[in-house]
Amino acid sequence: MEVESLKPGESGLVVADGQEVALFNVEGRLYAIGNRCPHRSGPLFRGRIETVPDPETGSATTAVRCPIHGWLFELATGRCLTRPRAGVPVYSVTCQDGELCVGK
Amino acid sequence: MDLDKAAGLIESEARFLWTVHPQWSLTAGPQDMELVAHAMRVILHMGKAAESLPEYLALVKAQHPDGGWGRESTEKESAAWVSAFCALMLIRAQTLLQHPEVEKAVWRSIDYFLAGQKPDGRWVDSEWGDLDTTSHPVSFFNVVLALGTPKMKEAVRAAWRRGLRFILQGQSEDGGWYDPVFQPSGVETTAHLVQDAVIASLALPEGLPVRPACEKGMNWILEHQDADGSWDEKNVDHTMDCTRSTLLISRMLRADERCRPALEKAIDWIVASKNREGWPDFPGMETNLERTCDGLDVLLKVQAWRQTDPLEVVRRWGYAPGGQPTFLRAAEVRV
Repeated sequence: MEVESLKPGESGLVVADGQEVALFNVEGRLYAIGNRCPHRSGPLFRGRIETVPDPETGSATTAVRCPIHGWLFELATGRCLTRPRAGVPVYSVTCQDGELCVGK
Repeated sequence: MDLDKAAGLIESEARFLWTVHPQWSLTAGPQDMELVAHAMRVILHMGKAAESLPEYLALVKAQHPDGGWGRESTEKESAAWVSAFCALMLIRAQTLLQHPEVEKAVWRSIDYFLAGQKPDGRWVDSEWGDLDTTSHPVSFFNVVLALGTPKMKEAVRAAWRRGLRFILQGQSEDGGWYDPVFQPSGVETTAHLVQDAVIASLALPEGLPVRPACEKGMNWILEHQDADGSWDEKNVDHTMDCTRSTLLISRMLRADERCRPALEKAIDWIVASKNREGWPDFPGMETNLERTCDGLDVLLKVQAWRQTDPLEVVRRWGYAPGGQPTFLRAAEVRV
């Protein structure tokens, strides 16, 4: 996927090594997490980005809300904020020659 | 959409669902219980419950000793939301099946929900918001009260009223129900609560004064429909929820004509969003079997909504009193 195609505020879906990866550009910062919610497999790349309080620390964090039943996942860690012990994988995302590269 | 087209779609989609029977049937092995319950609802609404007795007996077999079901058929711990869905499928099928094992299972699930209610009327499930979770046992108790016998009603009625009161207290001024943790947008929660809980008490004697809450909920749903006929940014699941809710509300509040334009747009959008086989979570995505069961359920309820008998669509929720007794005589004195 080209960097230019993922503008701030947008999300996208790529498949890397057979895994669906949801990409998010939040005010210029890129995030990549597993696309499927562990609850009912909702597509996270269609979810809304929200700034919410971390239930453990109370500090603000950026998360995506699953569009099907509302589970929240912190973009930086993949941790589920609405159900302890649930989560999705996090991938590194870098920009090389104008292309987004996703890796473990 | 005309009825002939709806009938054709129902036939072809049901045929598809049966081609993937091993993916949702407990008779084929362990399953995701939410998917099982969704498929059982299609069986029921297609009038195939009597010929599908093995499916219901497998559901009985998957029930835990406490009367609940797990999220997966192999899970040992019961969960309230899916348990209510499974119990609803059993009690409604029992009007046709009249099977003693199914009846015993329904009684066990009544016990499960009576035991699990919190003092303020809510039921809880770690995977769902409390309002949404509570709406399902209340819906189950609606059906118990609508289909059950007079002798069983006292304990159930008290729990039902507590649950309903919890839901009514949770309604916002604008008519929607919002769950700050799971559903801040309120779309799915409002659609579930209106169809699963609040609306049904209009049909039951000694209910709470729910008409104003229902009217506000209906207005909220209509106001939140997008111009293309969908709800919640082309969300197929939530559009199906809102459509079903509106089918029931419009009939029970005698607001058919007011809701008809919104319903027609919604149904056209749902049909246009279908894949060649089944429905996706969002247009253009791959088919999801649970969503396919929802799509079939919507079309079957649209068919019922258009029948000349005005109560036919209400029966698709099991809320219309009357008909065959659900419980056999021996069990009448239990609650």
